[in-house]
Amino acid sequence: MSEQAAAAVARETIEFEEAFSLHHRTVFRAARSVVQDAGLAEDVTQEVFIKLYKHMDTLDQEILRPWLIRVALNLAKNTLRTKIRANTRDEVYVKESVENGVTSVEDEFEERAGINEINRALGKIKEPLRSCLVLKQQGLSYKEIASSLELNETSIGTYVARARAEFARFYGKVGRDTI
Amino acid sequence: MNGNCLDIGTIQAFLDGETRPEEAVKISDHVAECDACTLLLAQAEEESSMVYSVLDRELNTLVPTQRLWTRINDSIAEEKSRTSVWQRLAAFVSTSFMSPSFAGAAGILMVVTLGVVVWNFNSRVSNNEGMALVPTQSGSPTAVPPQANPEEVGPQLANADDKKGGVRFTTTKLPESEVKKLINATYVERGPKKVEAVQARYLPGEESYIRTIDDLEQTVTAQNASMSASSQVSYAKDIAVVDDSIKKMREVVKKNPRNQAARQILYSTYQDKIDLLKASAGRGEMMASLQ
Repeated sequence: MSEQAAAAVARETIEFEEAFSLHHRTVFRAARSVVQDAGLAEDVTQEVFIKLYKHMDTLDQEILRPWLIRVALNLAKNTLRTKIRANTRDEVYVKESVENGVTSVEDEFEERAGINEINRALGKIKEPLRSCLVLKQQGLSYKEIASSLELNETSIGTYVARARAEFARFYGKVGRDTI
Repeated sequence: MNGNCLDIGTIQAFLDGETRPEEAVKISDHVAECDACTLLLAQAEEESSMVYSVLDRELNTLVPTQRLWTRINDSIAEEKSRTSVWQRLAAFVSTSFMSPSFAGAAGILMVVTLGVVVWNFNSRVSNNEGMALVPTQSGSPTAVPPQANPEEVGPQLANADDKKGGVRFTTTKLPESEVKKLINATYVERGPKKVEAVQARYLPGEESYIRTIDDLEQTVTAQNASMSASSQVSYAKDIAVVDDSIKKMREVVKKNPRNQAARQILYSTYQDKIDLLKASAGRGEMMASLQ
């Protein structure tokens, strides 16, 4: 391998590590807001960064974060569809588990922290309002949110406001007592 | 409240710091004067702080950074190991061409290869230019196919080549003056411009047949007057049949130059016409000597 090619590979590796350090939390949380499961969110995050690794040389750094979030949300939605289909097949097993009170350690922790109520309230908000709220909470600008969700930038303020109001309403019903 | 009141989207953008500075000043001025918008802004601010603090709790739960990094690295390593031989070869070629010496050597090789191909093509074209006229034993010219392309000639000619080493011998005798004329015509040098013009007019290998036929026709026309009426009619009829056949086959070959069978029939028909003309010329000569 020539020096130039080796230098190009090294530069891409550094850029990839930097992208992971800066954005993996946002990607993980965006994915989790959709799939509402830490394990599935990990799978989605892994897939997103493998896609990034393959397209590293063609992606503009300025649109990197919106691109990552857009890919994460799309993959998360696909994962959710697959999960719903699988759950339908395993409906009996799930029903029995719930009836027998079988819960994982993670579920117990989330229950104690009131996270399940938050997720339930978030789950009741329709798209794209929910993603707008989650991404705004993650510190994305309106421009980045619009780019990530392929929406008009001028509408993002309204979406965030409506999502916020809906969350307050739904969380008020299910979550106030647990705080 | 008045017509300039703020909508909820503008208030949210103002709270999120997403408005331009001049727009933010206008909103502040309006809020200072409008009670309804002041109330709306206060409610939105309170609700936002509550929602974001609750979401913080959910979204800022631990992210398994180390585990994610390990999983991603493992997947990438696995992807790399699956790289095909062709991809590796492509990567080798692309990196090799970055080296100036390799690229230079490859360039020279390509130029040399191109030169060889062009030279071969030119030599093939000159071989195909037409059949050479070769003097026969008796001095009468006849068409002989180029040695390099035996497949392009009719079976009659190819057989003649096999038997007599590429020269066809005939026993037809022509007058001395005609023989000289034909021999001279055979060895006239042709320049490249003439060759190009001839190539445009004739099919490959056709030119020598036509020249031979032209010369023979001149001879026969000169002798025609001494022929009997029945012989003239018979000759005209035979020539018409052969000409018609030539015309049809020529059209077929022109439409599809790769049709070797049609080309062979065309050359064979040309040879038939030559034979017919020679026979006619021989008969005319005999009649003249008898008279």
